[in-house]
Order: sequence, then structure tokens, then C-alpha cells
Amino acid sequence: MLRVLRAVDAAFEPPRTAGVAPFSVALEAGERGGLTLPSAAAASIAARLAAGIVKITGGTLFIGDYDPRIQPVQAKRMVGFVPRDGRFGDAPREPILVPDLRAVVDFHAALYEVERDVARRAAAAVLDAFGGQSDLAVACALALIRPVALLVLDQVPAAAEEIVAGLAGERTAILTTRWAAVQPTAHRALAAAGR
Amino acid sequence: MTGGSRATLAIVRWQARAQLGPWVPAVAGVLFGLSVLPEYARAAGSLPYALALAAMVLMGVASSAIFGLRRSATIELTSLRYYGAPLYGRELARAHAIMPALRSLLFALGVGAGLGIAALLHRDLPPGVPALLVALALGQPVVALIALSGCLRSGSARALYGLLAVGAGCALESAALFGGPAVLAGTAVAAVVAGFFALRAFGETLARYDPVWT
Repeated sequence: MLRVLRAVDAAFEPPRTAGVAPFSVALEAGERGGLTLPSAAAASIAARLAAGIVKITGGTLFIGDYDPRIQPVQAKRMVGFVPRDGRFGDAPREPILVPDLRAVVDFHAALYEVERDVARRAAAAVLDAFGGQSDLAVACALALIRPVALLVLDQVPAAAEEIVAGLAGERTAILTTRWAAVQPTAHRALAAAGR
Repeated sequence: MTGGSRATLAIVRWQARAQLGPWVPAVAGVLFGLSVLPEYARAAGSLPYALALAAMVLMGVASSAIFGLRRSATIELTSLRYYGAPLYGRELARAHAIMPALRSLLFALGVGAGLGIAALLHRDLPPGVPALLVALALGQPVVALIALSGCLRSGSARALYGLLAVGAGCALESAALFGGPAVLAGTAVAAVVAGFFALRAFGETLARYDPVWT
């Protein structure tokens, strides 16, 4: 089977702020897994680590055959990422006024080198499945405007996760991060820990 | 069109969407061009005129730095939309730099528009208007480019970038304004070099940046 995500003692431990303690996870094509961490912040950072958005400070992490620290572009081409609550920015509303959803889809299509019409059709299919245009539904639609090998969902509700899993390709691996105040638990083929 | 160029254009179009803040320096520029500079035009070469020019430079540079470092700019630069996309830091830096650099020129355009209106109203104009506008156009983008790197920092480092941007802008614009034609040419070269290094530093900052806000 094709190994899509492989993290061994991957950690993000910056000097001044809280991070994510070492965790390990391995996902092959078509598999689904989860990481449970002790706080929402840690879960968000772990999701970004798995998506190649934040760089690990310890251990190893590969997306496909790519180390995001060395080949970030190649690694990110394989990944679709759904941020927590569908928020891409550190504010309830983004500073830029966006006239309509089509503009957002077209923008992402350009960022990810996807044909505009293909992206619009894919996004419409996801939004239909969600039955609305909530921030989360839009974020899921944007993550699925192109086929991806790995889909990383940051604290996405279970119902939305099921919808996304139904729409993603059969060979798409899906990693979901969650948080719980209790001791971290391991889901399929992984062990997680954080602080 | 390559993927990088398409992404660059998309980011520029995205960031060109309505934002009211950057129009404030343009209005301030119009006021300087229409009211302040013609007021001192007959006393060109005097201390009051030099002070008026210095105030104009400071206004333009400070507004560029303040708007470059405002919170909405930081939110935009740290958006996960960009860090999840398969783009290199240098590609992102180029794309992010275009709109701030263009917006920073609004102050110079405002001054030019104000002077133009003053000319239509048959008011006295200060000498060397083209050189004055070139001086502003050289310094303003450099301020915006240096401020971009400050957006991804916090605390004293952010303040330091703000001061660096203001210092570089004031130095470039003052040299171009108060020096002769030879100094203006030299300033143009210095502005290009400073802008290049500011953009390069911003690209490296973006490549190293980890968006860990939660």
C-alpha cells in the first residue's frame, strides 16, 4: 500500500509558546485515522503539522515521500486541509471583503492550479452534500476542489467528516484531529500525545 | 501563464478588493498638494518650506508604515489559505508585495493630484514638482516592503521593522528631495536595491514562518 502520511515522534516545541509533544501516526492510501490531543490549540497545530503548513521541530514527518521542511510545495500538492470552524484567518471575519462564494472558489483554484470550471463543479457538489454554505462547508468544498492523497481535518464535527469522507476519493487518506481534556487516546494505527 | 503567475495574479486581485484604510494617505496627500505646498511655494528654499516638505515626507512614510503594519494586514498575511497552497516563499512574497507597494504610491498620487488641482486653480506651485513626486514614489514602496516583514513578527521586533521602514523611507525621500539631480539618480538606485533586499528578506521570512495562531 502507498504510505501517504508517516510521522515518527513528530513534535512542534517552539521556545516561548505551547506546542505539540511528540506524536506518531501512519496512514496509507484510503485509510482514516485520528489524533486526539489535550487542547484545541494543540489539535490545530498538529493538523497543520500533518498538512505541511507548520514545520516540525523534532522527529520526522513525511507526506508521501516528501519532507515538508525540504520539499514543502511537493508535499502540499498532496494535501487538502480543512481548518477548524472553516476559519482560514486569525479573525472571525477576514479583512478582505469577498463578494461571493464563486470568487473564493476561483481564488483557491488559482492557488492550487486547478481549472476554474473543475473547481466550481467540485465545490458545488460538496456544498450540495452539506446543504448550505456555512464556513465549514465552504472550507470542505475548497479542500476538495481537486483530488488529494491526504485530507487533514482540524476538529471537524463527525457528521461533516462523514460527508467529506463520502465525497473524497476511495484512495484518499483522512486524518482528523480532535481534543479532549483527558489523557490522549490513539485511534487507528497511531499514538498521540500533546500538551 | 505558469501556475505561479496565475497564483500571483489571483492573490493581487484578491487583495485589491475593497479596503477603506489605504485611501486615507491618498486624501492626506491631496491636502498637502492642494493646500500646504502651494502655501509655501513663494518661500521656496526657506526654512518653513523645508519644514513643510519634511512634514509631507514624514506623513507619507508614517502612513505607509502604519498601514503596512496594521492588524488586518497581519491577518491577511498569516491566512492559512496561503500556507496550505503549493507555493514557494518567494512566490508568495512577490504576490503579497504588489498591492502594498501600489497602495503606498497612493500618497504620492494624492500629492500629485493636489498639485494638479492647485495648478488648475492658478495657485503658485513649488519648484521642482516632478522631482518631488519622483522622490515620494521612490521611498513609499520601500517602506511598504520593509513593513511586510514586520507583519509576521510581534513585540519589539515588529516595532523595530516599523522604525526601519520609516527610517529607510525618510532617508530615501529626503535625499531625493533635498539633493540635486545627481543625488536623485543615486537615490533611485538605492531605492531599487533596498526594495530588492526587503522583498528577498520577506520571502525568507514567509518561508520560515509557522502560522500557529489558534
